[in-house]
Amino acid sequence: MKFSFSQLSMLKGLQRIIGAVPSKMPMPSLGNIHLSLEGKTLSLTATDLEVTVTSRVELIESDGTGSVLIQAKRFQELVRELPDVPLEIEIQEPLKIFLKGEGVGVYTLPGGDPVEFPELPQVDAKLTFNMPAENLKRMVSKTVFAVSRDEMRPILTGLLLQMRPGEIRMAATDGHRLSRILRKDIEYTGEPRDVVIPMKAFSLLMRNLEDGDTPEIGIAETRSSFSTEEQRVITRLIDGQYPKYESVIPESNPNRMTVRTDDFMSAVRRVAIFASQLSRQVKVALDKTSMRLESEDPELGGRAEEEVSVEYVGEPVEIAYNAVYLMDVLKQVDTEEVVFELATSNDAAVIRSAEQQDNEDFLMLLMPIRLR
Amino acid sequence: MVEPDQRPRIATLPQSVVDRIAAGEVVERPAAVVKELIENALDAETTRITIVIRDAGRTLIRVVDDGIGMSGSELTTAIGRHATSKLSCFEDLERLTTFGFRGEALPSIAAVSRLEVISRPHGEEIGTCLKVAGGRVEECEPTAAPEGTSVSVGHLFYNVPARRKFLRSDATEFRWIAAVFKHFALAFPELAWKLYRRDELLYDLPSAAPTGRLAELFGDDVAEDMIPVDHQHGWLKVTGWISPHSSAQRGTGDQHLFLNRRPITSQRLNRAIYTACAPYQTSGGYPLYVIMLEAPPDRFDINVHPTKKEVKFADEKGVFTALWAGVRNAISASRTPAELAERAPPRQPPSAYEHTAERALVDAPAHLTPFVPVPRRHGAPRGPILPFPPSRPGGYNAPATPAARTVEMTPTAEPTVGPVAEGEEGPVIWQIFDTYLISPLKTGLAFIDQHIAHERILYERALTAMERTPMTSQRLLFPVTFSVVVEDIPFVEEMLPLLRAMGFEVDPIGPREFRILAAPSGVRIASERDMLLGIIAEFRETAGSGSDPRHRLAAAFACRGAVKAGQPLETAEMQRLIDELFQTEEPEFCPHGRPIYHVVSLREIEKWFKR
Ligand SMILES: Nc1ncnc2c1ncn2[C@@H]1O[C@H](COP(=O)(O)OP(=O)(O)OP(=O)(O)O)[C@@H](O)[C@H]1O
Ligand SMILES: [Mg+2]
Repeated sequence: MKFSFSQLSMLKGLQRIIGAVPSKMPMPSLGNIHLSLEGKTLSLTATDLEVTVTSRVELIESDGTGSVLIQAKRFQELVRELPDVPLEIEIQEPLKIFLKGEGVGVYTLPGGDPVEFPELPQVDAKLTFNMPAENLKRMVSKTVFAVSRDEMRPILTGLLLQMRPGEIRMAATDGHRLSRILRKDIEYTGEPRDVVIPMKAFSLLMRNLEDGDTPEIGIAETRSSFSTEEQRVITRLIDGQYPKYESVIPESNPNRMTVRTDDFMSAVRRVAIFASQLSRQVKVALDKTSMRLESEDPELGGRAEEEVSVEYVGEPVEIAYNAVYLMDVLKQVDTEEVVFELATSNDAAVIRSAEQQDNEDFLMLLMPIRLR
Repeated sequence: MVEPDQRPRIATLPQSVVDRIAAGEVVERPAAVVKELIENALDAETTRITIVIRDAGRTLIRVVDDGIGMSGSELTTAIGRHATSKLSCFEDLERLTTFGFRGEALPSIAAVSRLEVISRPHGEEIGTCLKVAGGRVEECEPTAAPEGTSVSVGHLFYNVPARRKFLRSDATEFRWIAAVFKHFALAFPELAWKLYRRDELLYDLPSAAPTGRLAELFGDDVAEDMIPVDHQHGWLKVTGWISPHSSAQRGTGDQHLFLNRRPITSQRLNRAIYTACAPYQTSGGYPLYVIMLEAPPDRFDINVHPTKKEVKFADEKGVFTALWAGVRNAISASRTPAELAERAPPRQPPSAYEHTAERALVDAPAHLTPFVPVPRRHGAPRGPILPFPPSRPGGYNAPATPAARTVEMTPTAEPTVGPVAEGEEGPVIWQIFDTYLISPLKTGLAFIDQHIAHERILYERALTAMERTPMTSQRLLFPVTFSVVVEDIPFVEEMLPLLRAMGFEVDPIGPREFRILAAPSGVRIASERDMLLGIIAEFRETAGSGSDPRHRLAAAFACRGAVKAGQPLETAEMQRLIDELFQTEEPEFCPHGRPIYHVVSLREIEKWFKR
């Protein structure tokens, strides 16, 4: 087995999958990349057993078929340092990998027996649909901030993907805030289905998706896959019941505040500097035309006050939020103005961009801190 | 039947016999003589005291001072019973600032020894030499002498054989003498002291600062280890030094307690000091200490016992408490290795109050400092590709999830043991076995148990919340319900208002069902129910203990909320944990009394390598 390739295409291929190589290895073979040559295509695969990524590398020439395991880190480091010239790999028995190229020395890497690598998962997709990369990226990026980082409740560490005829939704919540986005411009004709996808799958996928790609999303019983020409990400689905978030979205918060997103954001940023390290509490007081932001740091001392002009329809109200949460929310808003729909100081705020994109509905919920 | 003339007749004892009996009370052994003579020299405002001892004081005790001295007539008066220059009426007793006041010491000593006093008052040309044997003046003549007084006690108890037999071995008697010498040398470091045994100069202590005196008497090592005590409690001032450590080999010899510079012994006060030290003692034995109490003379009575070693305070309990608090505060403050403590941001506002209880009232907010996770430093440069929030808002002990970890571009294996450098100026902290933190100090290595360290932080935070400022409380999007068994309902009802102050908003929604609407900021998301049930269980279990429900609740909260052993922590989390630990009132012990950290000193490490 022998093949030649350009340094750049191999490096790209490696970069797509290297993130799947686990940093703490449950089994030693996972520190390897699985190389498999079939005709003129070379596939590189890495897995941590939860997420498996395969990328395809274009070859210049090839001879034979077969597969071998190669040390992931070493190989990537080597390829990164090589000049962009045609390179050649030859695998010889007993499992030795030789790499050479014009103006480059000769490198010998120990090869691994491919049978030691976990069997590559098959996705027997019952449902498939395509989604433009830009849409997929946007939906993920608008929700991912609300994904829980705490394994305490594993179901919340994933992104909820809801497929409905003519509508795709994504949602994430950690129990303190929630983000939900839905698009109606994606062709989906299958049956309604909800799945929870581990964050890691998305982080690997997003890294390599390019605008213009239209990945195919396949959903099977316990797995799902995201495939493009160059790569395929296969992930285990997170088991369990996702909280019924729809029921906690207030339908008719009576008060409505509209503010320039940047103004609000920069004020929160400044005031947050003086928020208590523990609670990150920022107090927001609203009346007709202005919003007052206040924070106080009982641990290190100091306080901050800001005023931002707003358009507020409703009873004057005072609400406290975690400043980090507030900034997270504001960061997701890409319109000039943002709208907060509020009720009492104990209730969730509904936050939306002042204008929604066509075919899209995006909202966030934020629970306040109790005011004493 | 007893013969009439054999029956003892009642008669007044001859003065010489009375004197000898009385003498026994003041001078029971050579060390007591030394003590009386030193006190006289001190009362005479001396600047140097030289003591010569032969045969453990049996043949000679000589105390030489350069104080005010006595004239010939004063000398003969001084030998007479109840002659004193220090007290003229009874009221003076209440304002006493001298050691002597009874005018008993010299006559008592004179009655049981061959006494020779040579004295020359300041400014006089000539001195006097007075010789007394068994209380009888044998000679009183002018003589050439240096300014000051020299008192030589020869053949002590030569005329009281019973006393003589009663004396212990020379070694023991001398040890007592040396102890007296040390007591006074410590109390009066500004004076120069010398102690001779025969012709051998055992101690030669030039006038020194108090710490210098410590070093000379105990050695540099021990002195360095000693923790200064400085505590004012109403009218009582407690100062001095204590070393809970270097005591094991020392037995009980080196406890020095003074009241207004007068060495005193008090079982009760010793116990105050012992109990204050006890939790800090690594081995058995008694702590080594030099503790000075200062009190106005009207607050205590020294005239309890002829040797004045015992003292009675009007407010014994108050003195006990003050002494305990002074020592405990000092140790707990300084057992925090200075470097660790310095690292922690200063308490705000800086407290001028020393007393724990008082301090607790004024700077409550300082202990609210959180343990919030901060972004992984060593992960940062690799750059997340997804817009992850800058920190993990999951709570102070939210672990890095697999998701969060894999955002890194390069899967560099992180060493489980190894230095985790924290940027340029940040100190290095290691975590071992995912359970202990190790922080190098200039003088050694501190080992910290992460779970109990966090327990201490949370315990104080919970107490603060219940007693003063309620904890901030994050409302939950999805209220969590739980139910309890009927027997637990009274406990839960007792707890509800306290829980509210702690940041748990819990509503009853059925006879046994409750709903959690909000949880303290920093509690791990989705752990609210388990945590609360755990707290209830623990609260129930401690119900019989009779301790304050708030303390029980705080301990339960701390136990349930603290990071567990076996949980990997980020460098910044470790740093914060350490910082906050040393901002607590008692960074040494968890609420249950277990030690939180242990320092392996450089010296100890050097010993491993036989350096
Ligand atoms: N070293 C000394 N230098 C100067 N005067 C002294 C010295 N020793 C004793 N005297 C004088 O002799 C007096 C008697 O001393 P003595 O020790 O017997 O009694 P005291 O010190 O007054 O009381 P106490 O019996 O409580 O010690 C003292 O009051 C003091 O005036
Ligand atoms: Mg005296």
